[in-house]
Amino acid sequence: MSKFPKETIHKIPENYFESLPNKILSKRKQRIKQFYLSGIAAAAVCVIGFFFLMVRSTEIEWVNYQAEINEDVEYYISTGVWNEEDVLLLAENPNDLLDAITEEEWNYQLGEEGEELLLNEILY
Amino acid sequence: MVPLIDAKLLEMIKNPETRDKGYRVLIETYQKRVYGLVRKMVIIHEDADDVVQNTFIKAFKNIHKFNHKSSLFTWIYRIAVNESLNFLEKKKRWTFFSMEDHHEVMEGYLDKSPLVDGDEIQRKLQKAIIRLPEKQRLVFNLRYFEELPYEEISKMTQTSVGGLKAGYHHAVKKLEEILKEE
Repeated sequence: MSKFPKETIHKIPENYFESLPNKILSKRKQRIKQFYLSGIAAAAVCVIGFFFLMVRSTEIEWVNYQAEINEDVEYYISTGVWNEEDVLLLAENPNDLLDAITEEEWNYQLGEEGEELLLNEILY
Repeated sequence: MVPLIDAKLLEMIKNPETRDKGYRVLIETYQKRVYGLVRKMVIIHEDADDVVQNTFIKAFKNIHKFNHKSSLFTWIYRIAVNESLNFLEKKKRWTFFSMEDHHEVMEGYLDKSPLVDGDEIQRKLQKAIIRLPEKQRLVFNLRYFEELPYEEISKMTQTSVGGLKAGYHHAVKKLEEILKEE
């Protein structure tokens, strides 16, 4: 082994060691920046996810609440605690509601033929 | 005992106002020796450049863990050793899936690269060293080329002095056999 010289055979590009410190320091800064950016991105994903989760749970709660009210109203009407007038009094627009109910019931009783019949009756 | 230059460097790095300057001085102090070791391990300049950069970045990241039990040089060298071995391990795993053998790539580089000098005998020795297992190659390089004492190599590689001596002896024997074959 002693016949082999110990000098290095590996050469380096010109000015390599002059530029290496700057290369390393800028790479370090870049990695720190990337680290913070990925941290911010992860935090943003968490916040957005939490926000959507909250909105969704509020929607579900609202739907459940509305369903419970409807069930209660139907129960009160079916058991006779409330009559039609009570329901109309609870409504914000009782007249519109009354017109809609009347129209619906009128159509249901007469149908399309009935409408024609009514028109004929009026003509007579 | 912490050498004076190390103590000064660590003081500079500790202070946020002089930290960047401290990092720069640290690189300038050790870059040539770290590069020399890494280049002998990975052979290709571009690979050595990557490994050296990662070595220093890792050193900066973990400098608060430096426990003064060894010199700063030994500590950085240990990081360089680990980075080099990890790099070669990754290359080995990668070449398992590709057609190209990394040993052949390194041998080709020794033959053709303008960044490799030396005569035929020196190149022969380098090619023979490449054929050694990575850890034996590391011990051989640190002992034969860097001329480091076994005690220091022991701290870097966390291997017993006896194990290192045996490893070095095996490496020399293998190299002599490889060189005789050619």
